[in-house]
Amino acid sequence: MEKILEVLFSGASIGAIYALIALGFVLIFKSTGILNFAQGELCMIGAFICYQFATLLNIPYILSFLIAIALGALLGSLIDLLFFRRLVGEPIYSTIMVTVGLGSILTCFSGLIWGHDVYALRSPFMNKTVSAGGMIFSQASLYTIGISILLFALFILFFNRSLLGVALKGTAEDSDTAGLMGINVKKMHMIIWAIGSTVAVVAGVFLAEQSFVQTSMSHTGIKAMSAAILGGMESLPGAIIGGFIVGIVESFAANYLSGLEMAGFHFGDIKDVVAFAIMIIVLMIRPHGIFGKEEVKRV
Amino acid sequence: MSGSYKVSYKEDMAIFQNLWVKVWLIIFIILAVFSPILLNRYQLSILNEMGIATIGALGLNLLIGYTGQLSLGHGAFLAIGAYTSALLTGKLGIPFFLSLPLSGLMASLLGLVVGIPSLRLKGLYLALGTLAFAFIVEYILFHWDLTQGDLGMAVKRIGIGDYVIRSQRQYFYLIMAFATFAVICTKNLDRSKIGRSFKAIRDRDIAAEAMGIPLAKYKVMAFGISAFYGGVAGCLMAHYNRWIVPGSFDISLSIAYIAMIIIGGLGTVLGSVLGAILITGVPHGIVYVVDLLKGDYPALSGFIIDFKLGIFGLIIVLTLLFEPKGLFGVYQRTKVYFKTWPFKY
Amino acid sequence: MKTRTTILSLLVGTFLLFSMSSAWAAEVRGVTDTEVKIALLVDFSGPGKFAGPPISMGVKTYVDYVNAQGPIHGRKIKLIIEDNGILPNTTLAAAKKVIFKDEIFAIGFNLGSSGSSAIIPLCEENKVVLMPHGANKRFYSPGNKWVFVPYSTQYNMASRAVDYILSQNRKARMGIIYQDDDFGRDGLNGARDAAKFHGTKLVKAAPYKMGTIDMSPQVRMMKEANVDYILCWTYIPQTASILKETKMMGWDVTLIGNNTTAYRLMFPIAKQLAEGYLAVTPFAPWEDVSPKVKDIIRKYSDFPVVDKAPFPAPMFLASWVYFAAMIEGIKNAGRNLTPETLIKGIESINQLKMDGMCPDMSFGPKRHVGYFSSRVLRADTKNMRFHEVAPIADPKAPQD
Repeated sequence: MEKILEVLFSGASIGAIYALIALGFVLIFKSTGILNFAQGELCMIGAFICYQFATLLNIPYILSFLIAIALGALLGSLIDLLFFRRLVGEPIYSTIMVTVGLGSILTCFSGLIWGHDVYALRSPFMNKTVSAGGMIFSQASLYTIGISILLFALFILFFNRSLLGVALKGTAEDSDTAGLMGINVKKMHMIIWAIGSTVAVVAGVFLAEQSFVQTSMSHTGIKAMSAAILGGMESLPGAIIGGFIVGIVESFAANYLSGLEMAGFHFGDIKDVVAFAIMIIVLMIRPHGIFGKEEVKRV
Repeated sequence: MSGSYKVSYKEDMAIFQNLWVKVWLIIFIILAVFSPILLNRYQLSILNEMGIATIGALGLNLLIGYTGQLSLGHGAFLAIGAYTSALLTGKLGIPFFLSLPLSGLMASLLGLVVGIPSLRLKGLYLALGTLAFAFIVEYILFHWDLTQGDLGMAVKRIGIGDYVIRSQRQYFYLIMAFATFAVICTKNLDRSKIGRSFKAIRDRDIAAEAMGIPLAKYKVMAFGISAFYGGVAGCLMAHYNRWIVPGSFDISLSIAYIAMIIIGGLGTVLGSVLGAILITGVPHGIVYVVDLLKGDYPALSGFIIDFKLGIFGLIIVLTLLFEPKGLFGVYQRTKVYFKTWPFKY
Repeated sequence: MKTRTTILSLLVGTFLLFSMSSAWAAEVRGVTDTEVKIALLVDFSGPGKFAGPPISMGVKTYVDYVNAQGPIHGRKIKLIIEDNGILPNTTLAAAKKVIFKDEIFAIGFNLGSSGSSAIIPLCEENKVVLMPHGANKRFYSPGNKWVFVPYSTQYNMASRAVDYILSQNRKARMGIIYQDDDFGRDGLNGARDAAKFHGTKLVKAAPYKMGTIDMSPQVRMMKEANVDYILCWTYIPQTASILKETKMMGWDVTLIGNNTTAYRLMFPIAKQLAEGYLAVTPFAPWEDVSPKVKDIIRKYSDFPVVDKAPFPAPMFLASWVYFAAMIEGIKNAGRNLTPETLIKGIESINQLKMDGMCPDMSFGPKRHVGYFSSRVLRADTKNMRFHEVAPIADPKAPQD
């Protein structure tokens, strides 16, 4: 029982990160119709920025986190301005491929600036634990889960209650009509890119908190995509729940199935394919995910 | 478009549409025949890589450019072809000229399986499905005893009876023959009912269905044919390099292939060829430039090496932003420019 | 119809040329009267980028030193450094370039094991002696005529680790966390075979995929199996992550890892947790390297601070060993330097002295590996260095 709880907890702590990244996917996809394959790279850049300030320049952790968020938002809006403003309405392959290309450019730049080694982020939660009921939890994981849940609540409030949030939602629903209603669609897209890249930065810092900073962190992005698919690409709560589900399933698979050998086939670290297996199963059975609506096309 | 008007079906269907095409073709054949004598082994090895890439790129273009189904897993089909042929020739002793079509068929079979979800999935969902498929194929190659893990396995030489292909020159003729054959096949496919159906599906699938094109059949068929080309390219690659590792067929290979057809020009045969040549050539070009600069400007050459990883990304982004039709579009524009000169259009 | 005949005749012409193609062979590639070209393939652009600068600097220093001692049989060593991007495809392209374009004589060092195995056929075909770094047991057993491994493989080191654990505690329960690729699996096989040899077994083996940084499932598996020692066939980030997890579980277990973790980078990453961490490596800790070697570095390297070793010292030195073997082989081959005589030359190396930096090297016609032995180091976080706790020794279990 204790083990199950521990596995659940470690699954949830990585799941919260998937959920944050998936949230970024969904936000950007819903409003601009672009699936941002560079989300994982944005997350890596965010972690590196935080590392730059917190570890290299010795600025207090909270402050460097905030600087990373601000710079992340700036980067997001810059990306929209430079690339995607020109690509609205282009066929889907070209937008996807631009984000893929962008991802490799970002990796390359972070390699140029920070190098390809592994670095540790200096943070107040580093290697600290809390024990409760005979179990030990890492502070970094607790902090990740707590802050993420807070953020999710804030987001849902923001999109339902604030004027800007409603305008963003309207743009996502139908950008042409929103434009006619006097909403500045271009500005909305830019804000969405800023928000999308901000959540990626937050996810990156949390990931670095639980492990390390390195360029290969960006692979988490692709796994988070299966969370977005599971939740249905169009739904914010879907992305959040999908993220947690993928994290927890992964954690259980890693704890109970890894290392098996069967008839010349080594299961190895099964954790890594679980996300993709989930993705394929969802796409086969229910392509619009748990919360997505089936699209009806009129000719 | 100005200049070329076709007044009969026969003209429209002709494979060599005018005199110039024939002239270019003859120049190409002469070059192909004599280049092994003029070029050294290094240059020939680059041409061989380009030839193999051309076959793979043609296949991917049939899927993405003609049918409009985005696939991020083309590398997986190359892997399947490569491993099938390696196992068939290595373990069962089947000759190369049998294992080549068999590896294509094997890839095609799996392509059909991946193609089935494409009936329900569109656009980005399909892209993600193929991506997940590619990761799972890589995982299996990594963990199956038969494929011998990430250190890979040796592949036999190509041989017909006692005649064994060894030198780059021999490989060049063989690969060029296959590449030319693939180009002709694609060109014919393009002109046939199948090609036209593919294009109709790409432009508007619902409308295509309304006009009597069975969507399911052609969508799955596109996957099958594209995977066949991929499998053949993978098989040639395996026998050319004579050692295969799963790491050669990762996501970066799929992206390189997509880069080829985007830069070359989607939905055109010439585009696939040009793109394959360019993208395969770029890394070699970088090596050449770095060598040139190494002596005098070590810092600059170091910077170029640093940026190597991002160069494909940069090429893809710049092409899509500024020249979405790719090299084929550039070629077309130049052609029109000279045809209508001195007028603007 | 006319075009068709033209095409047909051209095709026939092609076929004639095809059958005419003949091999040409004259002098030995890469060897002149005054010079011999040796290639160094190392990563400057791929995921192994961090290894590029120290390795190329190390080899440059060593080759400068050798050339300063005078030419070998009238020939100086010319080093060709090429970026191989560590991945199989990029390594293949780099190897083709150095063999076909730069026309090198041999590849003295190639970083990356799957890349190394991908270029073996090319090397065989063109008679290039290849020394792969990051080697695996498969490179010397069954081995290949053209491949030499002047370094302990992960198989050897894992066997040595098991020997060490059992010498400390005959009844120790051992578990292994390994990277799920040739690197980790070679360690797994080594540890398994050694445990079997000693009449015991590994209680648990937990794989992880390269690049994973959350090691909690693996550590939890180890804890459930209640092991006394965890063998870590992992790289630095994963090792640090394992240390972190065991600390968080409040579990006092001894970790023993491989050569890739036995250097300074461990300390800034794992911080205090590294205390008491053991690592098996053939190389002496940088602080214990003989003054002679340090003098060479001071004299021939443009590297600023030698004593502080801000670079990953083992990599800097490891690359020397390859070139030491290669150059000794060229010396033994004599004036008539061909690929075949080079092979004979390397095979006749016997007890090549390495000044205590690493074990002395011996090769033979049936033995294409320099040594099997390694030592055990212990991390000291206070002084940010490793200390030797068990000397160089061969693993007890048979290694080939």
